[in-house]
Amino acid sequence: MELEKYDGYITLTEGMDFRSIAKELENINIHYKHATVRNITEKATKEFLEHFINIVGFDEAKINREVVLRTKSFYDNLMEIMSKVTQSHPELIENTLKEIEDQTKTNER
Amino acid sequence: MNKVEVGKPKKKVSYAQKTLNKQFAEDDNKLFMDYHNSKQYGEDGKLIASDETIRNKLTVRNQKLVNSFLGLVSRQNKIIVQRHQDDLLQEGLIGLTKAIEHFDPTRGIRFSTYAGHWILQSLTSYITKQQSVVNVPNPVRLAFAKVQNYMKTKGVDSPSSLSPEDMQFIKTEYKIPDSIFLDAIKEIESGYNCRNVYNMMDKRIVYLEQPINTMATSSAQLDSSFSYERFMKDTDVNVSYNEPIGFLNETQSVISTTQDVVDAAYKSLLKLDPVKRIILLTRFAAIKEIGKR
Repeated sequence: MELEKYDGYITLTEGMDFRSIAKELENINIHYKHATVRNITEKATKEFLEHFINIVGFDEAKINREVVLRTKSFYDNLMEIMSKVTQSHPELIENTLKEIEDQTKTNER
Repeated sequence: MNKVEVGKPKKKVSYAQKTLNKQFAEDDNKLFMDYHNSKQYGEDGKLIASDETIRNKLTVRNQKLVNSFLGLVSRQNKIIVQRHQDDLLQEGLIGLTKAIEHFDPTRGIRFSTYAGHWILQSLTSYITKQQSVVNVPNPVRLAFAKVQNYMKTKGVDSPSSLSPEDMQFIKTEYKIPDSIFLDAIKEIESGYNCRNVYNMMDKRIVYLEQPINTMATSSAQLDSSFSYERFMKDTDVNVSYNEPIGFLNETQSVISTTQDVVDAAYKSLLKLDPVKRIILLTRFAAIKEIGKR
């Protein structure tokens, strides 16, 4: 994975694009712009980090989350870990798709 | 017999253009004479006062000279010129103002030939400054080059083997002050060659893992196995970059295997909203064709 860093912002040059993610989501009847996808990913990574820290049992005071979210190694490792999660738990994606379907049905009612 | 000239045809310049150029040159000459007459020198021979309005007029009129010389320089140093174009224009303008101050119109030389040297000098000195991360002052760099040239002619490797007579000769021959001379010798002893490594970095943000290959400009630097990590180590952080769970290694007592990390990630993913979860997975695990599953 390659990264470009400028003025404290990090952008992924490889990996799935926000526009292509938005296109993929249209298959499940979720219609988002690329900008909303970006905002959701930012929020989701923050939430993921917090849950992760709580589960593992780190000292919360020691970890500076803003710095971690801007480091290259975090995203580098996240890609590896996510691919390993999908390998070890193949049922995860189908279960989440079912959950999304149930959510949309309850919303329609 | 009629002589026939062979070669490139001359550029056709229209009559209107010729007259305009003539007019421009005549106006310039008048302004230069006025400026030359307005100069006042002190007893030391240094310039005390001059008409600044005329000088500013002349800089604006001859501003295009800087652009043309910048184009000449950019053939050799494309990357630096692209990055520092505005600064280089500024430096060139400073050189031009100096040229206007020192120009003597009574000698019958064109201004562009005289100003070229000043502009080129200011541009090249700025570029040499930018090429290295470690800032070496200009007089020290010049003295360094002169001492090194002298050492080459004598066939000497290090400055410590130079005799005191040689040292004295260099100082008097090239008019180098003592303090600058000592600095230059220190530079040579500390090893100028190790600065070439910094030259490749070129003041950009660089990661330690990154191979030098990506920003190599010559074939000698092309070596993908050679990364900055080899000769520079981040001593502040105890992170080994090669391991897949590097950012967690500060507390090795808590997590030791990758399987634990994967389990923790799985649990934290389950706590997320399903839409957020699928977006994260598509983003980082690069899952495709969700709808067809």
